[in-house]
Amino acid sequence: MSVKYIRSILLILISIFSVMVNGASKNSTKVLTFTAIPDQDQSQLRLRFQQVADYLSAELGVQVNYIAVKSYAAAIGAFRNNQVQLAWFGGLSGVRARQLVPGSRAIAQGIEDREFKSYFIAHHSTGLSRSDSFPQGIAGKTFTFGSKGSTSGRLMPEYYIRQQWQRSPQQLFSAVGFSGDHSLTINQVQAGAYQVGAVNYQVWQSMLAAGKIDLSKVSVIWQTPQYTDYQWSIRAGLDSEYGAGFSDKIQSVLLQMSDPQLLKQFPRSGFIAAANEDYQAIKETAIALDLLQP
Amino acid sequence: MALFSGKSDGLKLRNFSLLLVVIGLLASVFADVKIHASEPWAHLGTMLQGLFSPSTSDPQQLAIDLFYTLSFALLGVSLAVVVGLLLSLLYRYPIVRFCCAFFRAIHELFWALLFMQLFGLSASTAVLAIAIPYACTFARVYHDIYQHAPIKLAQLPELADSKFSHFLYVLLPQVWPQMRSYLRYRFECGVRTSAVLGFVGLPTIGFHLESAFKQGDYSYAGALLLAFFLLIASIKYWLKIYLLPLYIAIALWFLPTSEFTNSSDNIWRFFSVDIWPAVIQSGELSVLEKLSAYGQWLSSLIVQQGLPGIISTLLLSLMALAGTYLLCIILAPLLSSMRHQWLANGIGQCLLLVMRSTPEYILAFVLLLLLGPSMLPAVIALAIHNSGLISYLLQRDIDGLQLDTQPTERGSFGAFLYQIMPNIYPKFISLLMYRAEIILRESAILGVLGVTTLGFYIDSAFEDLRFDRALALLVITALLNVLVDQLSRKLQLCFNDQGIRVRSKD
Repeated sequence: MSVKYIRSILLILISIFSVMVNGASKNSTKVLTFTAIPDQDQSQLRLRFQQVADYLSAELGVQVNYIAVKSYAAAIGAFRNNQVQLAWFGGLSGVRARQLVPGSRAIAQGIEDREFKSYFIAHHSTGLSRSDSFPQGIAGKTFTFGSKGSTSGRLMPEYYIRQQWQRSPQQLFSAVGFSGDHSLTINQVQAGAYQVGAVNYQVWQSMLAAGKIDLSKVSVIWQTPQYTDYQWSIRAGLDSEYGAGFSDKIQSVLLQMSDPQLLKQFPRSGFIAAANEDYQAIKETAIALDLLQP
Repeated sequence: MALFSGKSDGLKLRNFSLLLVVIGLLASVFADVKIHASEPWAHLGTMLQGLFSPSTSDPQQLAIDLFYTLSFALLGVSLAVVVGLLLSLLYRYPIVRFCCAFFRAIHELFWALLFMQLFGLSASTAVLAIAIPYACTFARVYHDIYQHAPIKLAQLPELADSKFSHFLYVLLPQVWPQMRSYLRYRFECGVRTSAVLGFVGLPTIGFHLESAFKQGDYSYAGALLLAFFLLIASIKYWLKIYLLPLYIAIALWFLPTSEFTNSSDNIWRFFSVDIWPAVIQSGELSVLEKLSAYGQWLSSLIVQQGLPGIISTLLLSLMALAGTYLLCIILAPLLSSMRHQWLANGIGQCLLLVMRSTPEYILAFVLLLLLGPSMLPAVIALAIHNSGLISYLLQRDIDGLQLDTQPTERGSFGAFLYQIMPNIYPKFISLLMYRAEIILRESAILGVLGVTTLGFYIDSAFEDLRFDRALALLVITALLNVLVDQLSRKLQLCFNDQGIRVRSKD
């Protein structure tokens, strides 16, 4: 009796479970899905990128969906597992994603992304002020990066810190945090929770323009040298699925994007062609910091 | 242990409590608990203003969030209780006990991150992330409850041949009320866990709560928190065991269909490639060479991340444990004196609800603004959450106490000292020991404070897509938990003749 009982329970469990596990289901109508790394103001992500999805749908003649993700890693995972075929990545996340998906390539970057930079920002109580050379005074302070996987909020700032002192941030600062995104880095330094932080210069400028920054509390003390950052990446094999030349078509549609309303969502003044080789320096930096396997 | 061999029960408990506090204080000497001066008042002002004027532009989304939060919790806990019941019958076998302690040790968030690699952001990920650690907890607690049944198998030799009959006709009727009450409590925990799963992207209320806090949209955060508190407070009114099948059916029917699912190739790749370090993946190596390469890789990982992680995790947990103890001791007489006046009692209950239901992550986030980055916000956040829970559970025990009100005035501090405290203290210490394991797990998710616990490194590994590291660190965390669990069992066994809940003896 007991064996039967257990068996029937198991059967019920298995049937419940198999209903829940919804395996990979391919839709009959072809849908292109894209995502973007959640680098700032997550509540606005859907608002921002739905417009881009609508634009791409209209221009490509294929239904394009946008999916919001919660972390940089989730964006890379979605790209890797073919849950999205196109993604707006940062420098580091793009390098990571393309390493995991053979044949994938960077196709477009913002005009600003050729000359991207990070700002080091400091709370006024530190007494630090803007300088052209690396701010030596930040040693021993509390410091916050952005997301652990961010290029402008983690990779490049950490690279310049290590280059300056040949020591890790954990050894150098009295506390090192990872706020999660750039807006939060600014808010936390502004409130004095952290004394110094590293932040994407674009996010700083747009928050400044929106009046969300009190310059008497927090200010930029240094800007890093320039590096290459964000880009659109696509997976390999889109041509065989959507028809020959489809990847090129996506690229040209992205490059032709000129509606200020759309460009504001990134925020970029326009897009230019990009290639994997543009991100070689980022890749080498990431390997040097053990943030990427060679 | 010499320390606990004192003559009276009270002495042993006193020594143990003192030890707990002293160790906590000692830990704070070695740990970073500095307060960094900041100017949080402007930001805190906006935050409080927002939290106390809750509003949402999208009530429909809020309702959906709450519904999914509940659905995942219901399904996860229901699955867990069935599996946990089966496991509890086998819990006397060391291997089952080991596996349970091992799987329990891994935080639900990390289960979710693991299953996300397999099933994507789907309902199965959420349900399994709740079900697995909960099943292991059910196994242990139900086993403990059986141990306390007044009529034991040994007293009924005629049933010795039929363990199942004994279970069904003798054991179950005795312990059913306790099991049911624990199940009910576990549902509440399940709802909280389910909410926290939103932090990694599952569509529960935590998803928007975290975003709202991060973006400084505090009115929305206030609305979400308020809705969440009301949901938890209302559980006892609608959660009837006989209605469970109905609820489960509804939850199954309306489960979200996921935008992110995964193919079997990806699942296979996860097990065959992702979780192994690159050093052992080149084809030419023999098995022995692979083993030694893995050993080298593992030892360098342990030196760089494992050991520092273990040290901070233990320091943080010990301080949080001492903090929880102290906060409970302060709360107990306060709550007790408030009980006899309905308004004060209501305020007390609300306080406990807020304390135990606010996710630690949110508490730590607010405290970070006040105190700056160190272990201190983490310690306080853990202490607030856990003392809220323990005090809530103790309140239920106090309700069950039959007090004769003779020598002292009812509701007075004297009555508390004379009657209530001595009655609940053993149970209190026992609960505290039980939470110790949970504090150890929870310390894992406070990496945002820059506290380099094991959880910080695990989170970094997932963020860097280094599943080889993540898995190795998860195993280390789990083994640490097994060790701590063994230790706390040993400590508890020292007390077992004093009416403290006896851990499963073999």
